Amino acid sequence: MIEVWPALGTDIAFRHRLLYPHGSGPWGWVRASVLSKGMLVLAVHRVIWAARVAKVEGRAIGRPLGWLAAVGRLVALVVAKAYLANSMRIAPGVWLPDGGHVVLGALEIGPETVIEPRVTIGMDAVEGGRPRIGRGVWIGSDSLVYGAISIGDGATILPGSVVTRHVPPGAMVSGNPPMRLDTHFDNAALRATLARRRSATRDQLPGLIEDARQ
Amino acid sequence: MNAFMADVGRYKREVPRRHRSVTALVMRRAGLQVLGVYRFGQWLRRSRHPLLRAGLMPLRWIVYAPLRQVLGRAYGISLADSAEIGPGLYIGHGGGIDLRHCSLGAHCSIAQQTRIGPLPGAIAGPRIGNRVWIGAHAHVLGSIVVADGATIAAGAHVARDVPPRALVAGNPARVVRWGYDNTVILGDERQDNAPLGMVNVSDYEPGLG
Repeated sequence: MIEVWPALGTDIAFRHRLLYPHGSGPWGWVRASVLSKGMLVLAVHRVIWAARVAKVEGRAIGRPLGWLAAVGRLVALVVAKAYLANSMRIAPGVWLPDGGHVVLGALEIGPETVIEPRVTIGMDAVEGGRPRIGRGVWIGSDSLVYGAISIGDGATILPGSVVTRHVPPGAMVSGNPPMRLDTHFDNAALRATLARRRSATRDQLPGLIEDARQ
Repeated sequence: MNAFMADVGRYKREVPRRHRSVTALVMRRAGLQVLGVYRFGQWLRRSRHPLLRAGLMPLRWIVYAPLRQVLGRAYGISLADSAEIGPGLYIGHGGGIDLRHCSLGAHCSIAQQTRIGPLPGAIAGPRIGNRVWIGAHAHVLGSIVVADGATIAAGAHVARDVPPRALVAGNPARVVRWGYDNTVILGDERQDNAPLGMVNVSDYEPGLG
């Protein structure tokens, strides 16, 4: 149980930083810690991970944590339609705006990553490998990332992309099959803008990307 | 019932032997629950005897319709009555699955975010043959024919006919490979009840997946 709370606190702090880049009063912290689908998915993952660690270490709390994880999985499935792989590690400080319909089967997801709804990561039963997501990545909605690939730090995957090859750090890819639109794109502004909306549709994005480039 | 047992056979392949009872599989797999309700609805629809029909009508509205609604909403899997699904369907993960006005052959596979149905405003949907593997996030829309043994890669948006044993991918979908053998990803009827070993044990266990 010990591992769950600090990680969730880091998630909330990251969400707060996305929502209020210039800081906020106490009300902003309330807003950042309101339970949402994304928070639920992250919390369930933290419990699954804590149960796994406790079982490996042979601690007695592993068994009740495992039960809690099984219940949490069911809640995450019914509420958020989210599937979470057992052996995945999501670093503390990740945000899932909305968080619905995600299937997360990565090896590792780095901190400060934003994953939009309806994203699938990893199809190891088919492709025989799982992706490794770096730090500060933005994965747009309806995207699909699979295969034994790595997504570099600060990469941007625009909505609706199907990524099956390595993405170098800082690159922006889009499309199906994907094309590299930019080699050095700073997605911080994009992530912050989108964090304030529920999710961005395809036609809203070009304007937002142009704003972020300037 | 035979169609449903064929569905169960598809799911048996990837779980250890001790979890292979029908009850355990249905409790664990959301897709199987939805398929069971769908098969029940089809059985109610297909029964022809007038007396039986009169007896079954209340069942349809009291049992089938609410179950379909509740499970469909809970797991995000919508298999409409207008979809004709052959025996042995495998649903990988749930969420965003929408099958309407289409026909699927035997021994197919679908996954999360798959949409199969008519184009907006139209009625005629796709006709999909036997042993077709459809990946996650694939859209198969419009009055098209997907031939036997075809493979639709994950994320493909298919709007044209797919020839037999072709692998299509991309948006819009194009044939990437001809004569592609999808047995490895789809499995084989003979292996459905065979010992474990081909597909890895689901990482999403325990729980529903």
